[in-house]
Amino acid sequence: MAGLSVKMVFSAGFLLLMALSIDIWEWNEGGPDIAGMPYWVIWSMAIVIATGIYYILFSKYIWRDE
Amino acid sequence: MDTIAVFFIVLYIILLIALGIYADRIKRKGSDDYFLASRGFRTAILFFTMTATNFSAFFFLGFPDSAYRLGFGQYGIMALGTAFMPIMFYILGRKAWRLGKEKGYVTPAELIGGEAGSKPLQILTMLMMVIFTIPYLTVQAVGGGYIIASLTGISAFGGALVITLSIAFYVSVGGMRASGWTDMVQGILMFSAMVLAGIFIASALGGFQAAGDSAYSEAPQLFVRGGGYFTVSIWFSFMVLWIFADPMFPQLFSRFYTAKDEKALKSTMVLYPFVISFLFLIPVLIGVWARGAGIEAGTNQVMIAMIERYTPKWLYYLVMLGALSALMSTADSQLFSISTMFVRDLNIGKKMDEVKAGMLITWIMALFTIITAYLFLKSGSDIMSFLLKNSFSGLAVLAPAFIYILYSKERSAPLAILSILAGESFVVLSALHPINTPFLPGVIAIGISGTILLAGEIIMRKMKR
Repeated sequence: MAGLSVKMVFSAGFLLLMALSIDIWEWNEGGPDIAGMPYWVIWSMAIVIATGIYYILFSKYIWRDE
Repeated sequence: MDTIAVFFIVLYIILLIALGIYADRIKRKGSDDYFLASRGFRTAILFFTMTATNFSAFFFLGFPDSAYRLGFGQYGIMALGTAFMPIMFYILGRKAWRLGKEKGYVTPAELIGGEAGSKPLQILTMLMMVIFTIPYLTVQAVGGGYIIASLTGISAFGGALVITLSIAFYVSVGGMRASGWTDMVQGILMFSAMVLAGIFIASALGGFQAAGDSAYSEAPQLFVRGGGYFTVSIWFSFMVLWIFADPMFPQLFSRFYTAKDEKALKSTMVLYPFVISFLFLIPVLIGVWARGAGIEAGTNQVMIAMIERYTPKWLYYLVMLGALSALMSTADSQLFSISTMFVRDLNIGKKMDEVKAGMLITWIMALFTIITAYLFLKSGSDIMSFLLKNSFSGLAVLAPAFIYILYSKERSAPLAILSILAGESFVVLSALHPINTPFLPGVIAIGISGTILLAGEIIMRKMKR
């Protein structure tokens, strides 16, 4: 079993990802910036990929097989 | 009638039926094998069956349509929420898998009812899942009917009939194994079709940048979220809604039980965001690009119009088969999960063989779907539209009760029932009398259910002291 502090770090990490996905600083911005897409779409993609990386670490340190 | 289209559709349906028959040939004795493929899906099948079941006709037809009207924000609300959702594979899926293996649970309602020791809670959960899944199943059949109608010239009802009977055949004979295998084939088909569609359309429009530039010159509002539909609270609401609603679809929840081991569940959780980050972007891009290309299309027609204009004919057939795959992979899992719930939660198979009961109820539910599809096509059923509009919220309010029963020490069944009834009441009331709130009503309903459980837990703990 992972320790309480490790679990807390991972819980905080998940909440941080959720918070970062609401990119209010770019809410009123947007144009065909990168490959015809706004910067914030690339940001959203980066958060989705970061979530995948988070799951890799989560399955290694928190979710242990029985 | 397009004879090439008919040829591809017939070939595709024969392939699915052949997989169903083969799954029947190798099946072992016992209801565990029929309903859960002996709990033996490894990562590849589990991943494809989960994603193919999760991605419905909306992925192919609805997504580009929404992006055409609302813009790139459609990517954010779908991709982010769906990427965060797999955390539920750990919170609910891991527990469901372990307890299912240990105690023989097959349906989601068996898990919550069994762990709480409450048949009323089991029946209530089952009823809510059935009520909010049937309209979705009907819409998949109707969507399939429209696709077949556009390709072959037969009526939309005739198309819905072909789709529903084909699904009923391969799922009733092959059970969960047939559903999983066909999902894998359908998943590969729809993902390939979507990727190829993106490549061909981008190339025809002069590349990503050129396509984006012309869309921006025509409709710059599609590139900005502020001032439109995508407020910060709506953005947040969708993220919360997907996390709680998606795993509550019985066709997805029941797949937690089918994993061979926890490694398969974990790998599926990890793969989900990587695939979504890429795949969800393509239909959104096609929808936005359509504005720059001057496409004027009706509801759910944007993808078809873009494919017809910018891709070779063979890709048009492939995309239409991809769209059929998306809705059939969802519909077969829905049909099978509903019949499984009738057999297991209502003990219909008690007096007869459970597998035979499952096959019989699959056909009865298929006939029921054909009737509801007919009514939907004829008059646009108000009840069906109402349930469909509220199905995500209606299912999402079940999630707090599941988490409570699986993690609380008190495990009070009456409290779980109260939380579900309160949440569902709010969903119905807010639909009948819309309230002015910055958040989606479903999120408030989840909050009500969760608060009742939390308050009840605190009170019960204090009373014990």
